[in-house]
Amino acid sequence: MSAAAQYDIEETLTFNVLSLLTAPYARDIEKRRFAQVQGTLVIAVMQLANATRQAYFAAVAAHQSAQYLQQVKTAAEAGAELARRMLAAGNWNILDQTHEQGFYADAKRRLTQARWQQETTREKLRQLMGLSGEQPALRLAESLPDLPQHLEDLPDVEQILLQNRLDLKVQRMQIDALARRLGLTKATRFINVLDMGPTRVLQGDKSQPYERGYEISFEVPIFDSGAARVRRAEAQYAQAIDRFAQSAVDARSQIRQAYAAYRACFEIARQQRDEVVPNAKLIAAQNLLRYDASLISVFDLLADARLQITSVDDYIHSVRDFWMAKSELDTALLGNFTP
Amino acid sequence: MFTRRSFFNGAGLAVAAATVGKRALAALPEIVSTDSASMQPPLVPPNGRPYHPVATLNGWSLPWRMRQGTKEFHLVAEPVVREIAPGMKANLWGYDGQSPGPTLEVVEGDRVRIFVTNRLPEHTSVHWPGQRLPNGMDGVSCLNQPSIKPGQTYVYDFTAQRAGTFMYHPHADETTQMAMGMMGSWVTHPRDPGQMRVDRDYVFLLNAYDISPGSFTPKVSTMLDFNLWTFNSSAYPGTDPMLARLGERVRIRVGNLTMTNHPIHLHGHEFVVADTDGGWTPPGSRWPEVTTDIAVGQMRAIEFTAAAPGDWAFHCHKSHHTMNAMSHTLPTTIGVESGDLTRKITSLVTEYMSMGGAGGAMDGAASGAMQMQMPLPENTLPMMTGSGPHGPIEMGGMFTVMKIRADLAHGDYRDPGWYQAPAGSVAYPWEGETPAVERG
Ligand SMILES: [Cu+2]
Repeated sequence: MSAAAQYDIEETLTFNVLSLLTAPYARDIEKRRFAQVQGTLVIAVMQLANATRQAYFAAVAAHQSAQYLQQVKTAAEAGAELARRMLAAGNWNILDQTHEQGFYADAKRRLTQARWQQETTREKLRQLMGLSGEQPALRLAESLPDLPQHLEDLPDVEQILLQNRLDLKVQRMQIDALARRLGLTKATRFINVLDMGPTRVLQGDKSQPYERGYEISFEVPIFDSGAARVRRAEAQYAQAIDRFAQSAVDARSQIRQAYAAYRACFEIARQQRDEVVPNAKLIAAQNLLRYDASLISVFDLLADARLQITSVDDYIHSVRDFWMAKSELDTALLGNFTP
Repeated sequence: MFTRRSFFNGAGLAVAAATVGKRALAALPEIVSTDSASMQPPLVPPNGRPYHPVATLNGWSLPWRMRQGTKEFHLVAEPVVREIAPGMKANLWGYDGQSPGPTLEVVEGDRVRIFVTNRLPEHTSVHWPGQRLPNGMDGVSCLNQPSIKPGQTYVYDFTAQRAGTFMYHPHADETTQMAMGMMGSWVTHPRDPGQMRVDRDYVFLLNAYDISPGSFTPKVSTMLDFNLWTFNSSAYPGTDPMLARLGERVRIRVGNLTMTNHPIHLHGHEFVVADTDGGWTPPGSRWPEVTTDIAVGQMRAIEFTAAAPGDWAFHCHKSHHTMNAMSHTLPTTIGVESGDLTRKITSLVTEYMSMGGAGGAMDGAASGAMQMQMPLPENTLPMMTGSGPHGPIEMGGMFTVMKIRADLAHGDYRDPGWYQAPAGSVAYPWEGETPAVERG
């Protein structure tokens, strides 16, 4: 699959999400319900998009891994055959030969595991993309995208919550709708749900006006007149506020965790790319020189190559982990990514 | 080339002054050093008793200052960078810019004063094996004298009582210092220049180093498994040839300061051992040989008449001593068809090195080094090398060529090139039918 085609997949997965997000918000009350439905739909699409991206990165990485392990197996096979000839010529004993044979058996096992992983991840991806058996075979990119040049900064989390989290927007609209439906009109005070734990309520500042509108706000009016007429409605409303507060605090925590994962995965992958893999390649290059100079045997070269190639396999997985973490973060910035 | 550095510009000045005093310092002989690893022309004595000078293989003789009838030499013990052969340099310790240090040449009965300045990072001393000298001049650190601390200069003062071939080396942390190449030759010529007179008189030391391929400094803790075997710290093809005119009498003095014995072998001639560490061998005790074993710490001087023109191999007879750095653990592949498989394995490694990691062009320092595709690790000599008139000689280490020519002038030490063998005197391929080999 070409880079352009790979981009198309990404685009298909994100296009609808973006168009939904950028759609103008309804201006009047009749459209509030539509906005809630719209928000809920966007969250569902986003969750699917995230799951599909995860599956895609897993499938490409598994494909790359299998390719590397195929090479290791090819080399181990050559080593085992050479060992067999050494034994046949009388230059080696059965012990020397068996060691090489053991390496070959191990390489075969690892390749089988890698191929199994390759099939599993592809199938998962097909499933999420809704591809059925008759549809053309899924062709993946040969390798994962490069790491980005820089780590993106995490903007102010509360600002993100305020601007982006669709699930919170929906919940906020639901709270306003609930208040209207319950006929609660006289707010006694205002609280910011991000400042309240699920079990305690802090006194807000009464002087601040209750901003009407559809921008997400974590300031919610509190109705606790205590009047018998509305006591039941007020209790129901208070429960909704509690749930909203819990969601807002969870969302903040999710974003922080997702960012921590994104940052750590980037550091790990970058270190693999800039230190571990170059070191491994330098070792391989130096060993090749020593082999050419009759300073080490082809078996030494092979044993070391096996180790160095493993470091590339580790690198592939670190890049995969980074892109997965990036996708989780992107999703966490928009909504609750846990379906 | 020699460089004459004024001692007053020397780094050791301040500390040396503190040790020997200003007046004595002014009296120090100037330091003479060289950065060349090639054989310098013999040093014809400008003063003192006359003698026939030696030629030091891949080395040189130190000029002296004659002061009130005493020959004064100045040895500066210091770190040096020595070319082992073109393509390889070693970080060694030596004397006066080279390792081994310069050859000291004196005459039987000469009063000799050697100033030893220590520019090493640790204490040292100089021992003069085989010399008849006062016990306090024998140089065993802290047995015969205090050790020479970094920056200090010590004076050794004795009379060269016995003609012969000697060596000098530290007797302080000597395993390390000798593993780093601290040693030199000493020749005391007979008072009578006609005694034991030869036309060409060569001298050199045998040395062994363990320098890991790609590195520069010997591993000083190696005791047995050395990977570089050298004539005067030169490995073939870095060793100079030895020359003789047809019919000349030739002496080769070889001192062994390695940790093992070396059977030294000359092609095409018989020789006798005419001199040992203990002195001239009585003529009646000599027998003809073509190989003589030189034990650890021993010196043997062989003599022969250059009887046959040609390029005659001269080498240690331990075949692995005529090879440069090599593995001692390679499996035997004789009788195994392995080309197809080794190609498969090496191409995997090559391919792997050129791979762009996971989906990106590899950048960084490592990829640059990889693209160079050097045939050998840095600063490493091929295991077997040298090319002769008929192809690759496949030698290294303790190997050189004795070049005997009819048309070489007396005293000419310039390489005359390869021997032009007369027509019909070179082994040749059989052009007729070769009978089938029958094997049972
Ligand atoms: Cu030897």
